[in-house]
Amino acid sequence: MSPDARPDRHALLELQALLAQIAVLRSEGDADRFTADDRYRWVLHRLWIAAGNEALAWTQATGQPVRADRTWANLYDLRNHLAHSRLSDIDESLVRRFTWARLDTLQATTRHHLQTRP
Amino acid sequence: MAEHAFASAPAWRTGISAQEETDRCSCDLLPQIPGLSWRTGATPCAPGSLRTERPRGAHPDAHGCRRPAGMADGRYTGAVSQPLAEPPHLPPATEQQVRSHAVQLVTLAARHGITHLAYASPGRLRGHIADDRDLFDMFEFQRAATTLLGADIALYSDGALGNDHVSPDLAAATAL
Repeated sequence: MSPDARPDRHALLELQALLAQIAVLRSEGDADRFTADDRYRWVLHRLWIAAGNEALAWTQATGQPVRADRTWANLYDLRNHLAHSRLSDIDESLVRRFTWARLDTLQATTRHHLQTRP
Repeated sequence: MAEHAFASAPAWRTGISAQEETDRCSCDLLPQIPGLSWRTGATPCAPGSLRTERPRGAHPDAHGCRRPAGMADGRYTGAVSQPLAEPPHLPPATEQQVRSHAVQLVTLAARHGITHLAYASPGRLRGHIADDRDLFDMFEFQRAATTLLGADIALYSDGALGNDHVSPDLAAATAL
């Protein structure tokens, strides 16, 4: 198998697709569903974890430490929080607030990077 | 225009050999999920693409299909993803480290809208995140606190205390 020719773009494309899927899930739910539907929350968790992995992949591909930039650092720390914490220790209201408030900005940031790194 | 026969007809009807069938890309067989932009907005693999690995990623252009020779290829990625290397981890902050920097930590937390800081266990603090703040504020405090102490700090929201079976160290955390 050949190595990834453009790992930076690969990571951004994956991240963009993952954020799009989170946006679809967000549009299909609301605060009530987030609170009541465990599986709905856990799918969002998994997508955010995958997004954090792509943030790490992006920083590695571009030769910067993952915590050098606020956006990538926060996505990476989100991954760690959701992946390493017991579910009972997670404040889900924060995950919901974050998903509803920050997603659009993250999508715009990813689009910007894709446009500037054709 | 070539027909993407693999998706619509069995091999015995299309004249495709079993080996060709195995090698042919199956990205158009992925579950059709209404509304997903990568099914509607991105370019799927061309008919007749050859598979070099199963599609795993969320984006079809990044999954590693190999188009037959002579076909235009707009992808930027190759066959395999790169393994991720995690950054090195610091040891968890001890209670002594945390309590000896209590004033600085409380001040730092306040800048991020975090109050009621409490020590739970090595490397774990509990705090209250203001209603107009979110996880990014929590993580930015974590990183600043880790830098301050030279040891790893993870912050947990006291909003989790209402959960069933919350970890005992968080429930019993003592104020700084």
